[in-house]
Amino acid sequence: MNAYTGKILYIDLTCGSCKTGFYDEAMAGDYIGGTGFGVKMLIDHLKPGLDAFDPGNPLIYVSGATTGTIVPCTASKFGVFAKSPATGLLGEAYSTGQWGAELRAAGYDVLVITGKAPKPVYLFIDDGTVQIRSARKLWGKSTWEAEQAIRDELGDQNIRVSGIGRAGENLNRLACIINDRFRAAGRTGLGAVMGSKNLKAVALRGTQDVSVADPEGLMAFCRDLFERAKGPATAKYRTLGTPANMLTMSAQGALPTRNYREAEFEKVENVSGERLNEQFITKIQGCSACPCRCEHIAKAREGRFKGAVSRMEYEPMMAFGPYCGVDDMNAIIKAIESCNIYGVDAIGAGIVVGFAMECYERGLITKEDAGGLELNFGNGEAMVEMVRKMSEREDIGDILAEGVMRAAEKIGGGAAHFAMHIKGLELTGYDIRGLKTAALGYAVSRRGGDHQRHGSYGWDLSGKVDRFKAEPGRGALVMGDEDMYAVIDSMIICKFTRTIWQGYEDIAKVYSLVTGIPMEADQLRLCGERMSNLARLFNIREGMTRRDDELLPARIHEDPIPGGAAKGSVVTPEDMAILLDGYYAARGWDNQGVPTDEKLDELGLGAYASIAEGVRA
Amino acid sequence: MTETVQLQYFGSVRAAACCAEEQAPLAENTSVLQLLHQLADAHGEAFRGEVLSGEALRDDLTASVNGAIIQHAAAEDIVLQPGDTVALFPIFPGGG
Repeated sequence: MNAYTGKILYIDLTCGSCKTGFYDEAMAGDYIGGTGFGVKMLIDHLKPGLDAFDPGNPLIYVSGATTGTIVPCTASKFGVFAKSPATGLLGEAYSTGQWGAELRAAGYDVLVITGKAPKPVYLFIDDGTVQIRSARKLWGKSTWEAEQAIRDELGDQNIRVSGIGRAGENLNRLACIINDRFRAAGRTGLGAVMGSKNLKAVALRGTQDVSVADPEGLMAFCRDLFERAKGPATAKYRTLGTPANMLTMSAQGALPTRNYREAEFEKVENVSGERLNEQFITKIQGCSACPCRCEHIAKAREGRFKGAVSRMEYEPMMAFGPYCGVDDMNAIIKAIESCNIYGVDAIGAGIVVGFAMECYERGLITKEDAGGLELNFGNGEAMVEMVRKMSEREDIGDILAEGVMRAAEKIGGGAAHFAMHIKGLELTGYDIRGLKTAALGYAVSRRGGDHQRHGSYGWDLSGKVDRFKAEPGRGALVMGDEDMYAVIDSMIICKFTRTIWQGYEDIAKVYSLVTGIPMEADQLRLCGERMSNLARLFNIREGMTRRDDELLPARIHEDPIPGGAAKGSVVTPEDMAILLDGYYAARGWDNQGVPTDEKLDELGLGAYASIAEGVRA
Repeated sequence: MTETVQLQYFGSVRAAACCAEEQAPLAENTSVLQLLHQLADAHGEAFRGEVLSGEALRDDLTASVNGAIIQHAAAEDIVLQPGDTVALFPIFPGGG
């Protein structure tokens, strides 16, 4: 095969063994890479019902179809999969930087890591060879310290490291996996799965070439793509970047503020993308083979957090800014830096701290519980310290490290009403009460409360639909988005550049040029649908039902947005029934959200039909 | 007295307009789309590129009138009234 190595590296940490497996062109053509490979490998390798921290839960790294090639904005991506300790369902996260390209250059497309090492270890994969090395001296170190220590130990400063910090070691259910200092496989708690295996990091060195099927054709098409990627479609990512959303979301009444108590922030100018760029951004850099260069690096300028450095995006800025009522940019930068250093999902961590602040103001958490912190909304210093406490599991941080769903159960006193999660995954930066298409997208997202598996807020915010109205037709919109995103996350294409691609046609063309496997647009769309259905089957096998899709946080159902452009908005149970029925119908699923036999046969998933049969009424 | 509308710009639209807010004169029966063309003529090509794609609204632009997001297809049918507030937002889909 071209592009693909065709190799899967299986590592069993319990007995310290490894072996190489192979996959064929049929697997490549049906599942593409990234999402497709991750979901397929997980459903095939996980024993149903295992706890996420059971050694049998495989931690799976996957590259994309075009990883390591010259295709712009796809070359460096990789995905990580496991059963999620946050949701108990599909755990899935993507990262970028340099690590993904190095994996393929080191000789593998997929790593499947099972078992639990008796003592802390790290993996070193060096051009097809594998070493399981002691991490005794690394355990307890931050992600940044561990990365440097591994490079020093191996005597090569170009080695790429993907690893965990203290949060992962302490099985914090929001723990992520960090690479290249600022890049994270962020969501669904996969860093904790890594920690549960006593695995500190995966280090790579690869020098092998990646072949492509049609070098001349690919070069010509990539020239065009590079020009598009440098053009107006991506200009906003290079200039203000996603933090520009702060003002936009607030003005549209869609900016989650103070744990969803409001949807606009009165101090939003202080945390705007404009102010960030004028006063705090020190460098803008890019990933491997990317002409967009969107990575905005900021430095705290003054106060006790002076010198803190972080990559800045809208989501973590929202989480540690308006969501916590904080307008001190220095504290926000420090909080995000802390997430990178401790290895914790910067979106989820901010949502958890905002939740804790509301608990504190309601008297459900005391100052003593918080280790002496006055955890009021707006207290940036307490917010930063709470990230550390959660990562180290100190004081109330031990409970908060379980995520808002489990923390609310332990704290009690009605805290579940304002625990903002879906299926155990904390919500992200779009107040879905006034975005009905997005509400459906979040509700059915295969990894829980998240915008990145569908992007369906775009329909609401662009004015293409009535954002305040629930209609059956939204189901087809969300389905189309999900299937396209599944393909994007299989190639794996950076979503910042999705507008440079002219639909499935362009992606299919690049796929064929790179791999030599004939691919048409319709086939590729079917691949996306196949992945969405297989992911659904995985979640059904782990116990998910229609009821889990219906259950939004009580605040979303019952507490109207108090002011601003979306004043009065809620998502009622009746809204959800309309939206879900429309979505299931569009998918060809039954009214409980279970794929039909006909649909599974159509997608070539008949081998998994027993999962659906087992739960069908 | 000349009738006007109030304009609010966000993100890259703001950068292209070189201001966050301004007032613009409003002729009778001016639609949202006509206003955007009028603004593009005044502010130049950078602004035009941020808000328009050919003759129509750029696909990834959100426009609201008095806080309500308008449907793109209706931009040429919605007639502005003196004193209306028009806001222009670029949409920023996230990554990850």
